[in-house]
Amino acid sequence: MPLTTLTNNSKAQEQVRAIENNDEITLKIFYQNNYPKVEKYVLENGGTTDEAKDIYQEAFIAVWRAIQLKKFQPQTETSLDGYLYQVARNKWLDQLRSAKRKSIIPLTDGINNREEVPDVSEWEQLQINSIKANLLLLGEVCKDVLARFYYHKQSMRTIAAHLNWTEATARTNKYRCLERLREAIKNNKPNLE
Amino acid sequence: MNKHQHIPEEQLEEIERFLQHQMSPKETQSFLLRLSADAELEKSTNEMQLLVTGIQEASLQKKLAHFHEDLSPVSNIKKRGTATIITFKKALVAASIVGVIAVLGWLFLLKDTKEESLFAQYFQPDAGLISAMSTSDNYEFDRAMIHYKTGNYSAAIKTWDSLQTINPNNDTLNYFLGSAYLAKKEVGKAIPYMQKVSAAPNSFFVKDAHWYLGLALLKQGKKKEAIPFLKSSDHAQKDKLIQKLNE
Repeated sequence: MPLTTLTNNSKAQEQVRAIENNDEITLKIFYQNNYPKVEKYVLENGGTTDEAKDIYQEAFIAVWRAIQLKKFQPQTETSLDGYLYQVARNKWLDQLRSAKRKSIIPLTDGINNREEVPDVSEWEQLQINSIKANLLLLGEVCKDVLARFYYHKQSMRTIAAHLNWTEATARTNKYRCLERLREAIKNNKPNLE
Repeated sequence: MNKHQHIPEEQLEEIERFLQHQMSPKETQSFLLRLSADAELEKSTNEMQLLVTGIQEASLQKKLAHFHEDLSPVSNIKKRGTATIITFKKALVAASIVGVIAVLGWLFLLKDTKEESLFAQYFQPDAGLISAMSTSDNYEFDRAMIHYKTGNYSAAIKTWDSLQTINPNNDTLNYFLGSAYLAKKEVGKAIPYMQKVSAAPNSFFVKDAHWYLGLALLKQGKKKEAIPFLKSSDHAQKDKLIQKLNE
């Protein structure tokens, strides 16, 4: 090394696009490259490996969500890594502040320097949590169709072939499943606003 | 979100195409104009964005467990010079073949099989590098490294080969191309890459390249050529292997 050529900025954009599209390899690399640093931080500050994992996964989802909802646009790849670390660190600091943890003291770099980072609003987080909870109430086929279409970005033709449907049926069923989900959200969480 | 307004299927698909960046620039522009003028459309679009995010997030959460399970082999990266020997199933098979052939007294073949057997016993694919997307100069290289570490050697070779065409003297690329071919047991293809790294005295990989080049030559039955490379490696098992070769 050094190898070639992409500028930091275009690499960051490429990474963001890949994350937006749920590119499995990109997500996995992003996850695995950043975990050790967060684990080290949590272990040095009174946490366990399991706690490090939980905090990290929460932070990872929060970062992914902020990218999907255009709350954070990194200028470089390192800024995305830094953002993930900061979100994880904030979450750990919040946890340490909780009543259960008040007895634990020394932090390697001080408890008071929590840095604010871009995040989705609390209202949006509540909505998304409600969507996820209501998704569980749908049948397996609906969950499968919605995950294939929205997460895996499969075409209607692919989904139809997989489920032995026509493409038109797949399209209609996807629409119905989404309507069922909307209906469930309406019935179960009427007063979130 | 709490008011469930009807979204016609056609409109829903249009919103989806907007959210998933599937519209042409012209379509996007026209959609954005409508969005700013139509409160209902804006509301439906915002609702759909959250719905799509929630559905995706549920899938991603399931994936995280797998990412974490796979973490060990990626994070426990090889500490150079301390690799341990794994006795592969293949080695057992080879050893048993040796036994049968020995009984038959087929000495010529016995010689070849012994070397093959030693290769199988002592060969362990290089564990690879940390895929540091954040620090590496090349995103493609890192993606291929993940392929390599997950055993998809052909996919790794495909990417590295195209990068190597642009960077023919890059020792990292040559070393891992050689390693990937060796892991596929395509020794003939691995040797030229390892030779290239072995000939670069300042390369970080030179000692490891000597070890793998020695093993590759051994697999080809070229014991005399293999031994000097094995000797000049810094592999923990080199003396043991050389001793066995000299028995």
